[in-house]
Amino acid sequence: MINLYQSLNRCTLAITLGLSIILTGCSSNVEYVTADNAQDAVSLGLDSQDFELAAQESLNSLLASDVLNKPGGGRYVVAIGKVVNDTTLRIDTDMLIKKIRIGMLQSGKAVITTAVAGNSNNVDDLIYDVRELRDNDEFKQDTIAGKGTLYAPDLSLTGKILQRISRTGKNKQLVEYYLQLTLTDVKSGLAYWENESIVRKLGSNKSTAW
Amino acid sequence: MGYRENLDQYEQQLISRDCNYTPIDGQIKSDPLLWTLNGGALARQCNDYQKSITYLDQAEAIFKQKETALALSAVGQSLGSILVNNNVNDYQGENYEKIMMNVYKGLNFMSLNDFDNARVEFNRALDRQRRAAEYFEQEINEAYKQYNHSEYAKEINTHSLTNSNIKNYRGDISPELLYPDFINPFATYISGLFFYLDHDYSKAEALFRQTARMLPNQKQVQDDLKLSTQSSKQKQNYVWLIYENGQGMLKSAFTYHFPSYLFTDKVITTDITVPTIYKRSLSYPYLKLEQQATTEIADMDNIVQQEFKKKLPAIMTEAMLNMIAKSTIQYTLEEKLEEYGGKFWGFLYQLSTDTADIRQWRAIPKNIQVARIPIQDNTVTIYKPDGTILTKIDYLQPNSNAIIYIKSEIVDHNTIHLIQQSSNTQ
Repeated sequence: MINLYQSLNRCTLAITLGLSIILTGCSSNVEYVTADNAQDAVSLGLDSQDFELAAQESLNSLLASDVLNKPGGGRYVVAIGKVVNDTTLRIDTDMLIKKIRIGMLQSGKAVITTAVAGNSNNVDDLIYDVRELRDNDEFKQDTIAGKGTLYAPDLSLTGKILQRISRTGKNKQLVEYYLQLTLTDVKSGLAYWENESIVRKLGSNKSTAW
Repeated sequence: MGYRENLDQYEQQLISRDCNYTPIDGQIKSDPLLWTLNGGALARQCNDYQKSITYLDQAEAIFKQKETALALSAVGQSLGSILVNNNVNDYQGENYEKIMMNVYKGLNFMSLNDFDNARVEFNRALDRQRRAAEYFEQEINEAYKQYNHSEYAKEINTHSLTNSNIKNYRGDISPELLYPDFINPFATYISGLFFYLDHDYSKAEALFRQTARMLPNQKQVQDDLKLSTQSSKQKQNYVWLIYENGQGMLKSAFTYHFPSYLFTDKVITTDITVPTIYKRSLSYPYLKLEQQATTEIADMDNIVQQEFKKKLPAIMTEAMLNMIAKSTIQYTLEEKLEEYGGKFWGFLYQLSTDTADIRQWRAIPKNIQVARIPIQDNTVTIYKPDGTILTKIDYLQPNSNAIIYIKSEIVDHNTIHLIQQSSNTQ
């Protein structure tokens, strides 16, 4: 015990009494993510790259299927239904859907209605605001959309994002995301197309995946 | 160092629903995790759900930061806490607090009618439950082995099926039976209830089933499990009462005095101060939702105690090292600064730092109870055990399920939340 006492010198004392000099380090470096360092930016959550890949995969599957080829030509009207986020992440599910919407429109085989949608964010309120102006003298009445001009959807696109988390080994966790999409024929209620893309990530189990 | 006073003051604020956030915001700078948790609970008491979410989101981000940074600075942190005191370190938080943080956030989002974000929070709570089971893996495995070798297990295996309660124990004991004291059955149950209200019946069923395996004798859970398996056409609307009862276990400081002459006459005092916990009282033993009395679904005291018990050996070791280091300092001060009264300064130093870490999230109740009845009309009355009315709610919508959530720390101090999803969103 005495040896221990003697081994403490004035320097240790000064540090101890200073109370607050505890090793802390902080850095706030911010970097742009490029092709070279993209690997470092990967998290256990879903990032924009995951959305892009999953959406592209779904889109390829959709366009490769026959579903959007309307018999006799013309374009289908597609409504965007609800995409349920059943994960631990606060995800903007519109990000996933957006790429697929764009792809469908670019294919020339489908149009998207913004008059009805599963999520009110995907409805363009202006469609209805303009119709409110029907008796407003300030507006040239024959330029206001008449009654019975909106198209009802033929198909509805809905989805779900699921997540499974499990520990693998002592300190790793496997996080899997299942991005599921379904295209349903509104009249018959029959699903014409479905796709599931899976994203798997392995990372440290020290903290949660979100 | 004033932690006790600050926390006691906060608890008074919580009980009296004094919605002044200034003292909390002032404390957040010095101990962010402890006071964002406290802020979240106070804002919830004040029915300011958005503010509560903001505080608890901050708390969750700090938890994340601590978990991922721990390995890097573990050396620095333990050095600091041995030489100085745990209270100088930021509060680290407990597993059960993390779980309740996500449960409260989920409930807050439900109150705001934002079921999409509530789903995320309940999923988080469930993942935290899984992580809590990992944290207690050793203890659960040990209990599992002990149980399977016990006379009780043999008896159940030979006399199965005669008693309806024992039916659930068929064969090997399910590990879930050992969970209730380690992870929080309420978190699993309330998640199940959320998914039921969000019309995700298969997920609700799985979670109610899991809760039923943890609490095989809990009749309400059995009934809810049955309800979740019915076809949706038969479903009528119900109101659940969730009752958070009393105040959870309180951490307090306990000091052992060692005669200092054991060491040397140059040391005035050699103490070791460690935290200890004790139980506090109930509010109402139960409440009545019309004629239906609430029954217990989680004994939070047991959960708090288990986690405390698991951490105690490390706390004791740290306190011992702390004592040795401080006695050393007293000795050294006396040696080097004797002419200036070094021993006295050392003594003062020890006094100023010898406080056990008694920090905790004071919003955790003693236990949580539940009851359910069908919704008949707009009105429902909740009674105290003596038959007098605690509250009457007369704005229920009979066309959708509802949760009445009551937190009562002490008799006559009740906070009431009503959750009912607006029909226009589903």
